[in-house]
Amino acid sequence: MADGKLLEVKNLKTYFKVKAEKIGGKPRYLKAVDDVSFSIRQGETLGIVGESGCGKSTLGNTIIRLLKPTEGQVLFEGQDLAKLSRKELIKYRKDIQMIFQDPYSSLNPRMRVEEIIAEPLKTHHIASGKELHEKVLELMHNVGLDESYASRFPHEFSGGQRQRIGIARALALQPKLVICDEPVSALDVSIQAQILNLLKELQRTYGLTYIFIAHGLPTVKHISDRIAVMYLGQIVELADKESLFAQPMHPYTEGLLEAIPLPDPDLRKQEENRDILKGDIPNALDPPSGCHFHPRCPYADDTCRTICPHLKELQPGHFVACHHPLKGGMAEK
Amino acid sequence: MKTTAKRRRAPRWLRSLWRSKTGMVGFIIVAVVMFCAVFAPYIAPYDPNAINPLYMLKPPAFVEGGDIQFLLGTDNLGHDILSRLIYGARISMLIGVFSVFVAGFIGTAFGLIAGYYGGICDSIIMRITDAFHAIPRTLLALVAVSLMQASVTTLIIVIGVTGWVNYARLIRSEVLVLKEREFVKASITIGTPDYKIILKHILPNVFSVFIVVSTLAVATSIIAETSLSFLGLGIQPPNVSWGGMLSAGRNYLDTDWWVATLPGITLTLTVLGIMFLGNWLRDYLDPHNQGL
Repeated sequence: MADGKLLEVKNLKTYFKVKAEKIGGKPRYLKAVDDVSFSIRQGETLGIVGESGCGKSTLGNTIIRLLKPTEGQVLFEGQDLAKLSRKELIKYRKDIQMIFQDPYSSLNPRMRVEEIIAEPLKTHHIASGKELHEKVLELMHNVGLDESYASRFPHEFSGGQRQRIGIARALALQPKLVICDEPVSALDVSIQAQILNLLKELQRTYGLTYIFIAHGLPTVKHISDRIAVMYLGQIVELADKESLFAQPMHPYTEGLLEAIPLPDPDLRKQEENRDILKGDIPNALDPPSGCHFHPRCPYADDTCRTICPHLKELQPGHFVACHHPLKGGMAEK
Repeated sequence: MKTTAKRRRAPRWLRSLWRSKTGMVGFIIVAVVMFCAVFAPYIAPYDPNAINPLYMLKPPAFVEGGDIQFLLGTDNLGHDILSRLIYGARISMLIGVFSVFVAGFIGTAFGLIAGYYGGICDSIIMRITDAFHAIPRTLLALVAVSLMQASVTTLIIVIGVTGWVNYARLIRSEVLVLKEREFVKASITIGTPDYKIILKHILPNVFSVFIVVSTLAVATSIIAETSLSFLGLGIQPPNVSWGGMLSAGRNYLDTDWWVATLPGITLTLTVLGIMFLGNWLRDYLDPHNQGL
């Protein structure tokens, strides 16, 4: 803890076994998270970005041990969570909580709001009786829900309100780390900003550390301190928000940045010249050889097709996994 | 919500029932049978076991030669068929409902465990259900009943134990879906113990499936009871059951049709009624139809 690292992920791998198509055939492995390493300092927000299917949610689920990692370490305050049994893990459950993507699926439709928010408090014997009720109301107040909603059922709420309930439940245990798995992608744009601001405010108040998973850069830009870009189970670029946006070094990051729609119609005319990412994300069961990104990369050469690049620190704090990192960012082209 | 209350509208389930014609028919049939079962001693015109040698094999009142005294005629011993049908409803309903409790309990427990834990546990339980599926239920029940003394309790247990398979399968498949829902994942990340997740998060959400399967299972249980009684392995006299009546009447089928036909019609109508009610219930509890 002396170095301020709350969580350190080392060479984490989560593979899914896929049954062989033919009898007697070899089972194949889907490498959802393939050798991922990063660390998070106390109080910061790490954004994780990537297209759907790139393994970002699997990464979140593995850190919180909804999935068992195939290999690697998840060091939380120096303790390797990947090795703990389910029983030993319960102590740490309190410290790491998750906010889920779909507010329509993350709340039990047959439980009242009060019961939902009270569940973590009851499970860890933090409060009971009148104290419990007061704690729940306090949590509701903190996430901007009216106290009178306590006895309502989830279906009586809008998506944004439901997400607030989910946030209250995640914060009930006063966790140190909160994994936000695309918490706003199911919400209307106007509500997205509200929820993001709420998350930021809560982070300031409680000193929370976030892992913020999203599929587009604009969402994470608002909330993150550092951003990791994932492609087919691997981190391809990891940097401070400012340097990532100002000077992306990986062609994929550049592509993601160019894919952000421009609000100005005049600028949009130039869009035809823009080199927007082409093609689809390849089948994760059968990833391309060498650099996984090479079939879609405009700069790929023979090295890229054969040798898999590793994450290297090219500038202080700016890690890239590319044989031909971009130098001057987008300006070069 | 307040405005609807002011207009004193019927509850939602009743309105839905009214709109579904078959559901309403089913509801009425089941209500009548239930009523007969509960109040049999008060509404049956005669003692079901009263033998009346003067009135043997009387046809129903609406047939030529019938007597208004015996609305649905009498059998070969002079028993009043209407009274016997009313008392028979008791046995059928008793066994139908309670054997479903037994089957539902066993099947739900296995289904929850198989679905939630998965893996080897799931494989073993599912292979057992396959094995149960492969053996005809009546055969299994026959063996069990011939080993034990035939009584209402025995029948409830036998029919219950042989009927849990459907529950296990359906509940399991529901649990597999629910397990992937984020509220279950949220509970896991909170550290809620498994038994609490199963009881508080999964069980309440499979309840509607449970109710629907149960309703339909009552009908199959009644048929199972009737078949066993028909074979002479079920309800023993002096208790009256529809299966026993069918069995007694089959010797007179070509001369005095009503002795076997009337219990047969009653049984068919009851089972049909329960099926209708079950189908309506399935539609009613289906969340996709909640807006209707």
